[in-house]
Amino acid sequence: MSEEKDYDILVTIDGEYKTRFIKSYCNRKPWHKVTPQEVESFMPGQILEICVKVGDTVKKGDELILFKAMKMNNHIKAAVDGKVKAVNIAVGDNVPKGVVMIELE
Amino acid sequence: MSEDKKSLDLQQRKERIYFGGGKKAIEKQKAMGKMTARERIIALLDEDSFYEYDIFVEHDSHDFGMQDKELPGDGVIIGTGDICGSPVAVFAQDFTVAGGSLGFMHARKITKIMDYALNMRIPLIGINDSGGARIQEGVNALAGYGEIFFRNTLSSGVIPQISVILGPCAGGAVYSPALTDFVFVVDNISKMFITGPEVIKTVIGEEITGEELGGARVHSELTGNAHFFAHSEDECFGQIRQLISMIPANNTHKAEKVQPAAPLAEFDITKIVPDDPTMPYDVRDVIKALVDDSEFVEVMELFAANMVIGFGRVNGETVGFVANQPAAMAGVLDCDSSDKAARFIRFCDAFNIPIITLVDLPGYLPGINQEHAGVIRHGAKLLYAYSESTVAKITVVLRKAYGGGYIAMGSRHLRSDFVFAWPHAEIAVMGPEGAANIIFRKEIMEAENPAEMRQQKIQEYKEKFANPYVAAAKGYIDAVIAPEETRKCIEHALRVSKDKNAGRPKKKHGLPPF
Repeated sequence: MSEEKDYDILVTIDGEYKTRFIKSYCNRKPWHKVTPQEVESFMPGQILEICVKVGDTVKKGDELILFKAMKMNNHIKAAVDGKVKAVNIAVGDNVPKGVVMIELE
Repeated sequence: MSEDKKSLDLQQRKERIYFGGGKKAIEKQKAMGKMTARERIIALLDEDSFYEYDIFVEHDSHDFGMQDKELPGDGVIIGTGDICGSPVAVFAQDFTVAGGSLGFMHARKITKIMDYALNMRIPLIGINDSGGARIQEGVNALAGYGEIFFRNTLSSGVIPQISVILGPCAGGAVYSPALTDFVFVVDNISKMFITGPEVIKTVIGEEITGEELGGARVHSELTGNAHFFAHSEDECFGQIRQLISMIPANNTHKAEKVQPAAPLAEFDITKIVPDDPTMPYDVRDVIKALVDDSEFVEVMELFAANMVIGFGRVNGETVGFVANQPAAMAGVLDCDSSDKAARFIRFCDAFNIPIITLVDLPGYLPGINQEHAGVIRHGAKLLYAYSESTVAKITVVLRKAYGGGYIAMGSRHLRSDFVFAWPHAEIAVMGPEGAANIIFRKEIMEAENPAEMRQQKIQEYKEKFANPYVAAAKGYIDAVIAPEETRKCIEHALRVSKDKNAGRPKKKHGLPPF
């Protein structure tokens, strides 16, 4: 294998270094701002109930979804006031972690 | 006459130093919503209890024009005083003096008070508000940090060490707080990072504010670096005083006993935990139903909320609680919650604080993320901490205790001294649904109506194993108790284990998986 393929350039505040990158460094995801308007699944689970539909106005603390995960029925509530912009899931869906289930605006 | 002159001279010298970095710098500090270093110490300690040392220390910078500058106290105040009548050692960095930058003498003052604290076996509280190393002093500043880290490590487990972040704390400076037992942060004031927003922007091109990168919320919710979050400096000092009043001054003492009190009547222990194992509830209500005056001091409230840790008193004696929180992520064990609980258990063990574990968890969180994040390594910390600790350990299984989670949460097998279970506890290797699918896979597949057969087998498994009596039959559970008996049983267990002496093989030190 050529040297170019094995090594890459790492730039720090003090200069440039030729280096090998580790797997976890290459696989890291870019940082993004967390917004309370996007209701993400915080662990893998199943949708038991959806309490809102697109266009509904919700208040902070209103129940949005009944989410079964790890032997527990979790009541997912709105973190802020808003209007339901999108519902990306359906009852019975199995969702992995990190899926935006409901979007508010 | 000359005596008078001399005392006047002393007064004037002191006042010049009390004035810190001068009017302009103090105004700037106030504009940021911050107190001065001296005001902070006064707000933290009992009235008129502060004695200051090394007030006339001068800095040791000789280059880049620094030799002509006057830096009162070299930007740090050290001394001893009282909190609730018990002595503590304190240092506070003064941001108004050269940005609280750490130079050679600045570090010498800090290490001096750290040596005091360790030799006198009293708690150390460090108030951090510093721009970082004083670059003009070069490697001498770095040496100072190293000396501080070394002393933090020496003191670890001997005296409680508390760090208060009331301003920037960047670069190498962050590692002293990271080595201490409890880190206190205040919203909009505390900032901690290794490389700041400017460096990140220059090198990586990512843009972020200091608050988003390493503010109080970030360290309380995401990184787990901070243990206590406050909205104001005053609230923060109140939290520190409360914590200090609950923990012992050093590792040879027990925490001071206070007048016992009953829990408040509004926390009725028989009405908090729903029988239905899929219903969440707040485990902190159970803790409040068990502790004196229902007063629970929660540690790391915002980080890994699926595990609750903190201090309370039972019959006047300080105890540490470790509890699964069914209200957050079903109370699963994962990387962060294991890490959080393990460190807390080791603190309690080091400072002779009995540990009470409340169990209600479905097990470890499955998932690719968790496995790749190292849940094996982090989960092992919890097993290590429980097994290693020799303080009194009391475990109460409130409801679910499944699989590896059952073993990890202060089980008999890791040498809990007393293990109680409530009558509707479910202690088994896995949940009925999962277990039935595996054990009766063939029967279910071959049945005429697989769904019906499945339900029937789940029920069968539930009846056989989802109870505390299988574990009790082997003596893994000492007693199955009614919820309302719990406090009495804990009180009794604490009394019995007052002089507990459980040895461990002698060694230089163990090798916990961190």
